[in-house]
Amino acid sequence: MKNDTVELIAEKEEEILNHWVEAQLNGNLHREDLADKADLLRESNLFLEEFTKVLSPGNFDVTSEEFIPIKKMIVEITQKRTLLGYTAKETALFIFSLKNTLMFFLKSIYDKKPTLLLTELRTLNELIDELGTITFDTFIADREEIIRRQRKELLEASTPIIKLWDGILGVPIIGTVDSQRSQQIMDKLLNAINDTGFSIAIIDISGVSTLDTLTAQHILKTSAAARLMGATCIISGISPSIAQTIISLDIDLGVTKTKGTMSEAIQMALQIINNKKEHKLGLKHGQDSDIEAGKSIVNHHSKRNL
Amino acid sequence: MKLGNLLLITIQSEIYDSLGIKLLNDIAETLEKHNSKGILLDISSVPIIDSFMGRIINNIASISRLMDAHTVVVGMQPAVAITLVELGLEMPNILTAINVEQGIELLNKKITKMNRIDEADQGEKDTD
Repeated sequence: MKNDTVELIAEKEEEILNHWVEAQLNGNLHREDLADKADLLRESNLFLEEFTKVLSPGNFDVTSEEFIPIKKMIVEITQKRTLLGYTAKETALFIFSLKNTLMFFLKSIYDKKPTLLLTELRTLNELIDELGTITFDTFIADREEIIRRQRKELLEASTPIIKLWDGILGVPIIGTVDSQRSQQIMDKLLNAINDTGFSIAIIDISGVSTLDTLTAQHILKTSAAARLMGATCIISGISPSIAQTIISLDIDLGVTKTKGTMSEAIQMALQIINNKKEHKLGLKHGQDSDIEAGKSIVNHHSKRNL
Repeated sequence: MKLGNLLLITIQSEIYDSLGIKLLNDIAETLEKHNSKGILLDISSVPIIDSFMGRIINNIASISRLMDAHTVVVGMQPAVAITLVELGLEMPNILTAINVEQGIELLNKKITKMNRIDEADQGEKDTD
C-alpha cells in the first residue's frame, strides 16, 4: 500500500465517515428498528478510527500484533449487534460497505494512474474482506457456545436420578440414548449409589424407542458395575422391539433382573428390602425366627424323605 | 480386624502386587486362626484397581470359600467398578455390598442360612 493512500484516508477521515454513514443509510444497511442513527455513526466512527490507526504502508497482515485491537473491536461490535437482533449478513455488510466509500475517495487521487488504483484497491479489498469475515467467525462462535451450553443442560436434565423409596433409586430414561448419554447415565447412577448408599437401582427404559448394541452393552455394564459396588439393578420397561434387538444382537443379559413395568420393578425392590429388614428383626429378637425357619426346612426335608 | 465370627479387612490405599499376595496369605492364616465364617473386604478407600488386584480379590473369595467362609466386598468406588467391568472382570461369584453395615447383614444372612442347612442335614440324619 502506498503512503499516499494511508495519508489520504487519515486526512479525510471525517469526510469518509460521513460518506460511509450516508451510503449505509441509503443502502438500507441500517436497521432503524434496532438502532438509531447516532448508534450507527458511533460504531462507524469507532471502526474507522481503529482502521486508520492500523493502516500503514507495508503492513496488512491481519494476524500481526497491530491488528489485535481492531479485531477485538469487531468482535465487540458483532456481539452487540447480535444481541440487538442483527443478522450475520447485516453485520458483515456493515464492514464490507466501507469498500465502496474508500473506492470513491481513492479514485480522486489515483484518477490518472489506473494501474496503481487497481493495486491499491486490491490491497484494501483484501484487508477489509479479512476484517469482515471476523464478524462471521464471531457470530458462529457465539452460536456454537450457545449450542454447547444447551446440549450440556439437556444432558443434565435428561438423566434424572430419583430417590423412589428409602433404599431405592429410580432412573427413568426417555428418548434416544447414544453412547455419550449412556456413559453419562452410567457415571451418574454409580455416583448416586455411592453417595446415597442405596442398594437397589431401577432403570426404566419404557420411554426409549430404539437401542443400539453399544448402548445395550453400556446399560448391562452399568448393571454389572452396580453389582460390584453392592447394589442390585433392575431393568424395567423393555419394549418388544428392544427385546428383539437384544435377542438378535445376541447380548447376554446375564444375571440382570428384568421386569415388565416400573410398578412391578418397585414391587420387587420393596420385596428385596423387606426380606433384608425381616432378617434384621429376626436377628435382634434372638434366633427364634431363624429356628422356626430352620424347623420348617427340617419338616420340609423330612416330608420329602418320606 | 476380628468382629465376632467375621473378619473385617480394610484396604487403605493402592495395593501393589507384592502387597496383594501378602494380603492373600495373611487372610488365609487369620481365617484358620480364628475360624471365621465371613470376610468383609472394605475397599472404599481404594481409588484405582488393576487386573491383578481383581484376580487377588477373586482368589481371596475362592480360598475363603474352601475354608468355609463367605467373602463380601464392600464400598467399591464407581471408577473401580467401571474399570473392573471394562476389564471383563465381572466377578460373578463374589458377594458385594454398599457399605460395611449392609455387608455385615449380608454375611449374617449367609451364615445363618448355612447353619439352617446344617441343621436340616442334621434333621435328615435324625429321620433316617
